[in-house]
Amino acid sequence: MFTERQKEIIELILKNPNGIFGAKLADKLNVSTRTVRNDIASINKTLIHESLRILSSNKKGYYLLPAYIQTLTAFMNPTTTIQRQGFQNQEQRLYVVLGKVLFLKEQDCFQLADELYVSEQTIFKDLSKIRQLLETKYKIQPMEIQHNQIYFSVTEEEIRYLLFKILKELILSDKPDYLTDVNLLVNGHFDQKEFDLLTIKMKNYLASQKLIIDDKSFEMMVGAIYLTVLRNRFGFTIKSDVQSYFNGNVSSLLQELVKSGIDIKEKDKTSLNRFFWSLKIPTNSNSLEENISITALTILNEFRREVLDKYSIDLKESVETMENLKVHMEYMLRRLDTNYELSNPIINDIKKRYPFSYEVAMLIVHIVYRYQEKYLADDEISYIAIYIEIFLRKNNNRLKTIVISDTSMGINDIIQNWLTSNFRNHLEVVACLPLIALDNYVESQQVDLIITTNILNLDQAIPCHVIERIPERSDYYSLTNKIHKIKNSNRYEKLILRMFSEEFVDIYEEEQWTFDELIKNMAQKLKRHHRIQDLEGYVKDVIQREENYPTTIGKHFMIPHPLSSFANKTTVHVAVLKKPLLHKGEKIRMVFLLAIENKMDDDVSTLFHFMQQLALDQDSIASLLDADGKEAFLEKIIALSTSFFNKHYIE
Amino acid sequence: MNILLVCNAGMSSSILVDKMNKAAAAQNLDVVVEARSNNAINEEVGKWDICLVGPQIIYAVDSIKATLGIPVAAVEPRTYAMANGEEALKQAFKMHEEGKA
Repeated sequence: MFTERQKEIIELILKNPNGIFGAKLADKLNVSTRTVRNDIASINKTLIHESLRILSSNKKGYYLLPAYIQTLTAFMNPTTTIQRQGFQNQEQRLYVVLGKVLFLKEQDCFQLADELYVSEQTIFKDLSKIRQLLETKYKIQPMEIQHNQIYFSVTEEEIRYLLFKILKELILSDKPDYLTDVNLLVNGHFDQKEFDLLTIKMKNYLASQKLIIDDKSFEMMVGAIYLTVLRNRFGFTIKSDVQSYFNGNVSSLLQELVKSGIDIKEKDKTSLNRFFWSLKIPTNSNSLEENISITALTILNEFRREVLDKYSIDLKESVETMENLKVHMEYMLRRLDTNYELSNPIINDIKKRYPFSYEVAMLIVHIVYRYQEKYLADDEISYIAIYIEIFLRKNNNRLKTIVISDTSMGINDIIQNWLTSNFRNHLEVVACLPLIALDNYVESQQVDLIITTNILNLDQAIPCHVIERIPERSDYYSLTNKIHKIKNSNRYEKLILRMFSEEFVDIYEEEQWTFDELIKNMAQKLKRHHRIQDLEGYVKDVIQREENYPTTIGKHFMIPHPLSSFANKTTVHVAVLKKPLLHKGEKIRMVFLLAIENKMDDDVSTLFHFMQQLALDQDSIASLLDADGKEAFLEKIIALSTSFFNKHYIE
Repeated sequence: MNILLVCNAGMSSSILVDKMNKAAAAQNLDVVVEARSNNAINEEVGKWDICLVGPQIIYAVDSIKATLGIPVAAVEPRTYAMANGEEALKQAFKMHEEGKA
């Protein structure tokens, strides 16, 4: 009837009821005014049968009489205008096709082509595109085509799963009008009023339970429930029942909704729960923290250890990063478990811009595989990479490094350049100084490492690394090693400071204790400072344990601790006894009473390792016993831990 | 049957291991029991049939299970506290039976 361009001309004229000039039309369509004139002529020829006509005037350009506008609009779009516009882009047409097939069970290709005003060829193309998309993106193949008939060949559970996944994707894509697409996906059955009502109901429920859910998770919940309701309404119900994925609060939410007349069937709950399980929905008003599984913590701990071993980066330096990763890890595992993995729209940017963080994040893959026997998608890895990148930028404690300047400026530049390009994540060159200025600088500033081109005899206790003018490959390895060592000893210092503190160091000059009394006395202090909860249970546990499993190591040192009482915060309570405590024939002079939290903690294993090493070394024990005051004791134990672990590391 | 006993530093478990070995010898049972510390667990994959865990590291049960892929459980706190080798051995055999079923 009309060519594409003629249609565009008509539309432009319809959009400009006050008229549009030929030149402007020509400009918009990239053709000459002559072509426009010809097109208008041939349009009018066709329109003559409808008693319509595009008029033209010198003042207005081309225009339509107001009375014609409606008729012509209707003529252009025999059904409704809204629908016609809705299918204009191909992506939306894919949703339309999918929606029709999903909600009408069976579709005829020719009929579809007719309804959508496209050729059969286009429909076939669309179908194969949909099939391909579903296959690669969701690993599900619900449609079959036979003799121009399209069937659905999968169970309702799988269809729901597919719908939820598309919903999640739409919401995460940040499209402001994603509900339009949802409407297409449900074959136009979307009812805004009903949806709003559901939203309000759910909002009220969450508010009454004091639950706080992030916006997107909430949208996903509402959307998923609405999709379920619609599926049920059109007779597509879940037949089988499989029970799994339990989420207490969501169950009561669903119950509440059923009570208020929302049509959710018992059998729908499994698929909804499975979907909700992968969303961040807290089970009570407290944080998400409590929902974190031991597997997630284990994986995170192992990840942190590997990152530390391989890259000398200690993620534990930032509490925030570890907390965020904890939560992320938990929900990542849930998504992996339920197949609702996230896709990351900026994955390529992340790979390109933060290659190092991405490389670090890759370490997670084999750890997750070991525990879950599933491989993470690239998209999920890239999310981890973002956390790593933030950490590197914000928290990573880079070693403050001084370069002792060489007489040649060129060499200075080369060395600094080499340091930046190879150790950007580990070092920060804070100054380039001549040797004579070093002492002054060190007095006022913190320095972790000194780089020089000549072997120096420094009085400073600061580690020093020599690069003989031009850095070589071997320098890279030796410096890497040195950085690792420095970072590790910092780490032990931190560990000791975390578990020991002055208030929990008691030095007894005169008192003569019995074991039971001493434990009771020390436990009371732990209780006073809220380190333990059940004082009596704790004391009983420690004393009974000592009966069957003595904790004396070496001759004068013991580390009593309970078997099944846990602490609020891991603490080592030290007692130094100038008058030895007689216990089972040994003269105990130092007691480390331990209170340990009930959770995975690498540091605790390290602590045990340290205490065992300590007990074997008479000199160290003697020096600790001689410590002059609490502060001195702490200083000594930090120094000892650092030297022990450096030795251990070199071995 | 090979039984692995795990605790934080291998201090307490070695004592219970002794008791379990004695109990096994008294009953003429063919078992091997050894103790390891929690952080050396990665090297133990594939060597054991049953793993018992000290109650002081009850939180590590799941991760040890994931690492070793065998039945893992915490020793009854009472059994452990009294260092009752016989009871611990019984628990291990019970787990072994359940693992087969």
